[in-house]
Amino acid sequence: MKSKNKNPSISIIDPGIFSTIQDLGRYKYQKFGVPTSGALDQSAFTIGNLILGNDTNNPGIETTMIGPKIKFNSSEWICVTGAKSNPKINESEIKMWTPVYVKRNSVLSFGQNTWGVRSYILFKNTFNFQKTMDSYSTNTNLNIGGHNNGLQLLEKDIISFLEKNDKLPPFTNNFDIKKHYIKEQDSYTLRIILGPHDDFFDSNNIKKFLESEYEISTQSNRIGFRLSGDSIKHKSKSNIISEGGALGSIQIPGDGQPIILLQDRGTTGGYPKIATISSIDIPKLAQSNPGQKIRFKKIEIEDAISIYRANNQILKNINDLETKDINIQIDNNNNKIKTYENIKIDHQKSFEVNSEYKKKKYSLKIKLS
Amino acid sequence: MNKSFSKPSIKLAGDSAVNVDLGDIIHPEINFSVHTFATHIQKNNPQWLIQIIPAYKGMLIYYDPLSIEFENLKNYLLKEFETMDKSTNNTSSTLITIPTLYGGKFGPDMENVINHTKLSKKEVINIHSATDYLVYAIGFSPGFPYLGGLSQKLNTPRLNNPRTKIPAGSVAIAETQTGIYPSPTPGGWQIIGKTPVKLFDPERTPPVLVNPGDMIKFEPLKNLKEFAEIENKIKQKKYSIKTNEIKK
Repeated sequence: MKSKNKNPSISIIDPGIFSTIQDLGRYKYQKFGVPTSGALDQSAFTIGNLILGNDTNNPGIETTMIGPKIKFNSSEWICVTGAKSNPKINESEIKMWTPVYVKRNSVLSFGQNTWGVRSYILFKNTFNFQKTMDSYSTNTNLNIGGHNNGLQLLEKDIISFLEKNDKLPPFTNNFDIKKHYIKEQDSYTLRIILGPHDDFFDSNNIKKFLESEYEISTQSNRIGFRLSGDSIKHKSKSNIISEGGALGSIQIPGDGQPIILLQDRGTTGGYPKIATISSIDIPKLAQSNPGQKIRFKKIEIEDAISIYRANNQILKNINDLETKDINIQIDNNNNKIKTYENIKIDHQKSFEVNSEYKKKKYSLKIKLS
Repeated sequence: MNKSFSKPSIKLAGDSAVNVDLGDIIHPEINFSVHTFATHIQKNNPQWLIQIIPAYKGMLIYYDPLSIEFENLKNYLLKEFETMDKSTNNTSSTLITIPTLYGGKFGPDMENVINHTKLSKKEVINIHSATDYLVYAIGFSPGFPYLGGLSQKLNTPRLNNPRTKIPAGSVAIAETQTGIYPSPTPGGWQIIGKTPVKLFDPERTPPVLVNPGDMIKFEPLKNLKEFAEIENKIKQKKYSIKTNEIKK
């Protein structure tokens, strides 16, 4: 790639409903009262980076409901994951979950989500701004991090990339959405581990909590998701002495309506927490709109850790480049899209591409040096 | 009498964290155990450790479930608590002096406190600035110190109508608590003054000024001029916070 990228950057034409820069989070500063923040759907975020062959913590953009309109001032490799957000480059639809080469002066935009809430735009390149407390993640409530003093993306923002732009994504990966990502369902079952304060509730109330269907309320954001449904009553106290709250802990305030603590939660809080959601089920929430029905399923800690480890292993396999099938998409000079799928590489020295786009046949021979 | 539990109470907080309680009330002795134990584990720095958030009576420990079995984690914590040095002899604490301008435009709720406590403004200032307050924990918002030890004489309820934005640096009280707001946040405490000192600064390493286990003392400023002088020195990075080591 010998593109003339003098000032590699993107310009925000329209920020969408709520788009922020995130990475996996700010983990080492919680003891100073700083929330972790970070991508709400860590699964989609991590997979996107793996598909691009990045460090899994390479920062990207988290969109909400309707994504931004972004002009590329330099040619960049990107990958869009998460919610089905119908991304387009210059009005031509592009595929999600695959590396896409976006040429300079092209515009990335999004349609209406047909499933889910949050998409992730990951880049092969890395943003060229200072991290705040070791992380790129934005917390808009506290104005911490991100590209612009803790603010979300705004119209006319320009976000620079590092100068180096010669990195290519891997030619191939093992990503399989059925195997690696959330399955679309009408009602999600979230696996939970009881505690730390399940002893604040009697067995009838724990039974009620486990058997009820809850609906995600409109008062839900990156700090926490409020649920509406059967009220859970405390045995006596509905307050605890303030203490740290884990990601996915479900606190029960005085009114008995559960609140699930998410990435922007305060580091400490004073409500009892009946249970905590299995880390790998948090992305189901990240992709849930208000009104989404959810249920809880109790599992034991040993099972939760087994599931956690199995999931980690499955993700690792995405980058296990045994297979030679290719699934990449290139925006050509005419800003039209060619899609190449299942290309066979001949001993990794050269490969031939045969593809069809709008009834026109393309053939390309690529030599690997 | 030892107020702490004889052994830690370990409870599950999902698949990546545990709650470790060393007591069940707010008490300086329990809080001291919490910070001693948290520091001890941090020094050991086991491979699975991600972060410890100490609070009043216990701590939340984030761990990497890929690196340790839950049973082993539990046994490790119980064993380390049993074998660590718990002596409180020769321990010292850092006393940090926070210059504060009480009342006036920086302390809009001073009148409320005067009316509720039937004390004069001078008495409120004298009582509030006479105590060394223990920093039990940092939480709620970045750098916010949970302070203990407010005199009962100043006990004033929260505002009926919480403010949507409290200015950074505000010194406030509510019932038996006092605190300093490091960044603008909503809150319902009675604001009695303001400090020019920055309790939280993301550009600073570490970003916080006070740590759990430290003590805080408020030093009344005479007037706006004194406040402005310190504020200026802070801007020019010429101000150094007054700190003393004190015996416990």
